[in-house]
Amino acid sequence: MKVAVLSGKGGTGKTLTAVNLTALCGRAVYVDCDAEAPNGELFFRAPVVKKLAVEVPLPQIDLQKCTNCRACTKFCRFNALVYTKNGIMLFAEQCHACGGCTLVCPVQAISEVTKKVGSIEIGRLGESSTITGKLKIGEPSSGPILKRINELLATSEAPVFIDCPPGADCSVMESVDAADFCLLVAEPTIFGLHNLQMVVQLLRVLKKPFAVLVNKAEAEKRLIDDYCQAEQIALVGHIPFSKELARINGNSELAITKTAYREIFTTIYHELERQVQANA
Amino acid sequence: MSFAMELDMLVFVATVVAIKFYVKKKGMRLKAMIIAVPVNNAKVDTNVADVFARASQIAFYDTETKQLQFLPNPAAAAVSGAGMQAVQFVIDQKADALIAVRCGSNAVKVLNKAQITIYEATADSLERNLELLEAKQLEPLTHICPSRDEVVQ
Repeated sequence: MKVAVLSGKGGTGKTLTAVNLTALCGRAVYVDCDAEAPNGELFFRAPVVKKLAVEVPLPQIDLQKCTNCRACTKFCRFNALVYTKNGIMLFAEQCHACGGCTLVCPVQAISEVTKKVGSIEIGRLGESSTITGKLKIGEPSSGPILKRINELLATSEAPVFIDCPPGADCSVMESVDAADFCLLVAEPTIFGLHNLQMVVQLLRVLKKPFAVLVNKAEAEKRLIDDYCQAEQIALVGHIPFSKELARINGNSELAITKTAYREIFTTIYHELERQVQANA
Repeated sequence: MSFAMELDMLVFVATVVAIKFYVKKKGMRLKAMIIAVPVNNAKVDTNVADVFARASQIAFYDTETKQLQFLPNPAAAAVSGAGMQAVQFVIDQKADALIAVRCGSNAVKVLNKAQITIYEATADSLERNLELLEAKQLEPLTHICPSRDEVVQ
């Protein structure tokens, strides 16, 4: 099974859930798709065995050959190329590396150079492995890194837990691409519910099966439970609100090393497994 | 009067006429300018928009014909790259100058390359800024916002 853990709102417990479920499995792959700020590796401290550079093509315009016909600037929907009477200008940070300008140029004035946007680190710890996307500081988009991670995941046979970036944007869509099931972590607050709804909306468009896990759960706060019931969304469990758990997690330690939390995550894991099988 | 003198005279007169014509034309050409101003709406009494790329309209004023035209800014609702799209629009409308409250540094780079002078708006209204520019009382823009790259570095 390949499970993407996502939340909409940041700080709801995606990493907490993903690292502990991975650790519980014994043989599993933890994937950190939050390439802007990856932190899951801190919990495993797995030695890095492989590092892959992620590069994207960037257009380079030969102004001697360029006839200022504007085929490229008209083609670029991200406005990375701008026409002036003194030559075409490129704004690399707008470029989505689609390669279209190179194709449409009628005089072959555009060639491609590569630009490094980040890396993927593969760590190994016993039978488990970690895959961490790392976006280079200053780069605006983790898309190319996540695409490359999806390629790596295509052949994985061990259970996979994908720690997604917060939100419901392009990077989240890219992160859930390889997953066959999604686990939505939500906290029982108005803000938490609002952002959960955004992710639910996204996954319905993407036609991905999903279930919800309540974190920071308290008996009287039934916001998420009521929503799931009304929307007929499966709930795989509750992680109780606990300052001790927050402290353990804040110290980048695995909660399942403590019996009480191990039991909670084991129950969640079994319910999740049941849901994944029911939707297979 | 000899033929040679007449010819001299003719050459002299022709030269004077040519110079006068050239000066007049050159003078006119220097004076005629299209000024682009990002504005909040398409009314004459509109104010200059705070953000160039997201302005709902861009006003184009021809200093020669005194005509003021409002065109909807195609970048107003762009998902990304709005700055570049708005700049491209101003270039395509053959503007010679831009009046703005502030401008992003990427836009400034393109405008410089396209030889479009950027002036800093000192009044709220479009009309007042155009008057000030024609009276040569607007200064080049100093309020330039750094791009994402520059913020990181």
